Amino acid sequence: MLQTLVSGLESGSWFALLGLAIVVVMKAADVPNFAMADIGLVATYVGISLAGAGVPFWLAVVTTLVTGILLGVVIDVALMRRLAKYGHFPLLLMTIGLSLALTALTGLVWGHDPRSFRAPWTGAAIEVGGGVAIGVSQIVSIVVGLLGAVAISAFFTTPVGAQMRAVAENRATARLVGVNAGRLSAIAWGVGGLIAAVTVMLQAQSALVSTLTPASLIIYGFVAATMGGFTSLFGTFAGGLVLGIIQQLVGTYISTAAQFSVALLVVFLVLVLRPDGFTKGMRLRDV
Amino acid sequence: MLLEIDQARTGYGSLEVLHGVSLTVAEGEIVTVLGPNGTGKTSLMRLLSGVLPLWSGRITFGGRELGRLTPDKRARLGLCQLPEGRGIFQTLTVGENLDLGLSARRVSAATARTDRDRVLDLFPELAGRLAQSASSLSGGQQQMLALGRALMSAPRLLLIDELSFGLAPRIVRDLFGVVRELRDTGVTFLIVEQQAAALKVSDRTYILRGGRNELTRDSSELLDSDELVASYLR
Repeated sequence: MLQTLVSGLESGSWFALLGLAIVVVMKAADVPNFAMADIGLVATYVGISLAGAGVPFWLAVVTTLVTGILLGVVIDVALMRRLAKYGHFPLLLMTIGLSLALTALTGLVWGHDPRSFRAPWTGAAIEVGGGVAIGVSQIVSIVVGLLGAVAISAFFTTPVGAQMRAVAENRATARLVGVNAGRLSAIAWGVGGLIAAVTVMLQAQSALVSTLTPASLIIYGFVAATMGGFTSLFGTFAGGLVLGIIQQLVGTYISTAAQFSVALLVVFLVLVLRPDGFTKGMRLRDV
Repeated sequence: MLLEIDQARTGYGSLEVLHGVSLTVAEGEIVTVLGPNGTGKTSLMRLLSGVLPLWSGRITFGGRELGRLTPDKRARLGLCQLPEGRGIFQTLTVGENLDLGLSARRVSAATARTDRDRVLDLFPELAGRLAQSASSLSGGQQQMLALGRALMSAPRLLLIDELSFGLAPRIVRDLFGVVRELRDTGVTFLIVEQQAAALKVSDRTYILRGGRNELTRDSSELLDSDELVASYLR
């Protein structure tokens, strides 16, 4: 049971982080980013390749993070910004297209075999008694997830973060006041790319990742974001953790085949019962 | 001239709202634009802030043609706006709202602090509420916050769309008092109003009607002839 719970919190942390990455971009750039997990995968694969080539672990980690940031910023500046004037729908389609393209590109460059990002602690475990062992990588995921959530919340109280919240509340007025929405959008994509890189990297130090990873991870991320009403950071984080635990419980007591369906069922229930998310914190738009 | 509008036309979609409006504002002046509802006053504000496109005519600000500059770039040139309905961000604190004004310029932390202190001197009511949610403020306080935020962006010209919007006459009088104080510190104002109360603080007044210039006078002249003004605002 404890093992199931810890595993649930571990994968829940990944879902929560990716959900937060989605919410950050949503707040500042007002687009649901379906390519978020793919950005993380490409960044992670860059790190895995470097580590495989003998680059020290921490240097490979930093490069992964920087790649995530750069990918996010470049995508925003080179692709999204050009489409912005055509409204939401083309932007949404662009992220879906990007997701497919990045997955295909990753497969082309790195192949489709599952890989892992071996950390010094990968494989190590702590005995907690009763024959139960908790993997160090699991603890790392949970702790980093928690720290990440705190850092993102803190980020939104900085001047730049306040500008993002203003843009999320009313984009037109924010621009009248002098907020540079383009710059904010690039920052949000950079931060989103960073979080996505952290997410997939965490997953890769604990389990295997492949070109199939983004497709399921992004769905879980969106489920988490939905639980937070696409605006609440706390709701998204808590939603991700709850989702992880539900998913593990379903996998343990019902069937691993049912995990995905249950996640979609959760979205369905959230949208029907609480379309604003669990926590009514910051609203994205006034309706 | 700080601001020169020459035969400006604009509108929404294919609907023309301003049919060639001309207007000038000199440095240090307070200019009001009066007119009945639906005469294009707010459209004029939107045109100036870059929300509506200029169909034809010319707008220059500080000698520079504004063309297609986006609203945030105009704000960074010093053409700042107090939007209709105040535009206070309800999900931000009072202090965060105030500091948003800084996004229109690059300043050191020290300058930001002195500017903030100056604004709070002007509106002491806000000083004790910086950490509160802006949604907790009264209408009058929100208008003070909007004015304070605009001042934080060190405007050369401040566009105000209905300062009196939904406020009690006493509060409106106080706010216009602040406007006059600010003019003495070198801020220029272009104020769009539906109420003739604005005449008392302004130097010159344009009356618009049906999207065209109807009349331009020194405000003092209009003050003496209530009937004249009333007939135009009807």
